[in-house]
Amino acid sequence: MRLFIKQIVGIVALAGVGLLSASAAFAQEAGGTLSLAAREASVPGGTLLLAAYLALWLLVFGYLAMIMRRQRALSRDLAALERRMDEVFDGSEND
Amino acid sequence: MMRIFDEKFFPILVVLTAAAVLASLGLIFFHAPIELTMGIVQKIFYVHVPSAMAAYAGFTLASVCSLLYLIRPNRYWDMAAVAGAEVGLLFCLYVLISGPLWAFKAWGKAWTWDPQLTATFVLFLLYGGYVMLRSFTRADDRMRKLAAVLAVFAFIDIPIIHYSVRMWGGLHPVIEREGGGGLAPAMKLTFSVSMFAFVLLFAVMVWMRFRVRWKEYELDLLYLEVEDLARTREG
Repeated sequence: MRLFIKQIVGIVALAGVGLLSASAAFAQEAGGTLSLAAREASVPGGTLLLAAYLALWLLVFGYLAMIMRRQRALSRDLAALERRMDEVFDGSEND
Repeated sequence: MMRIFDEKFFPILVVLTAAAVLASLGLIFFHAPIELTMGIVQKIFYVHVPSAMAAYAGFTLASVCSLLYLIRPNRYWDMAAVAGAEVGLLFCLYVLISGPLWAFKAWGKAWTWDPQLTATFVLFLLYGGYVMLRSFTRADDRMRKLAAVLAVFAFIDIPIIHYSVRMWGGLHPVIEREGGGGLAPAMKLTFSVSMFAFVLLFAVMVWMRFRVRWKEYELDLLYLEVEDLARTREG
């Protein structure tokens, strides 16, 4: 159940980012009056580059972390199954 | 076959991927020259284009596996389709983040409803819908088939994105295809290594996602077998 909630949160976050970028784009289309020179002065290229590379590694490692969590949950389920198998087989041997 | 790949080849693939990613980062920041007109922000290109290719690869995998699932319903095709769609969506999201960061400097605005950009956004929504459908609904056979149909239809958008510049023009730049200016040798090398690193990264991520689903499925089957056995013995 917790895993499912985490999945939902992840997907909602993904969708949220998509919607945010769309709404930002609409806002920009509607009121984009700043000149290119003004924008260049406000955000240096290095900052944009850094933001792009940070975003990449955040997404990649975030996704890998999510997979690793599922892998750990799987290991716990496997341990539970082993215990259940021990119960079933030990019970039948005692009978 | 899958177990052999997982145990023997996957660790090698991970090491290769790490080496390729480090090499590409080294080339991007220390070897590739700074472009004259756009400046340092042009270096986003070395991850933006490979991400787009990885997104296409993920969605193509999802569509092909979905089609195979519709022809012959095998759960492994379905698992591969979901893995491809998820990883493709992740890279597509990155394309929609890195592109506006570059465009903010190059065009003076982060987004414009250019045909290629709009079609990419539609692709993100289509496969986002597929992933949501698979996450929010019961995983029964009917729902899997419905989602597979969506994945196959969504694929139509990929050639539209590719040919949108030729068909409708727009602001999105072209480098080598359709009359672009091409790349300087140092940039070409950096781009090629980056592309290779992203192909490997894509393969690692898809396999890791597929492996989790595959093991979950096998575990569920094992649980059912053990419980059946327990009931038989109790009876």
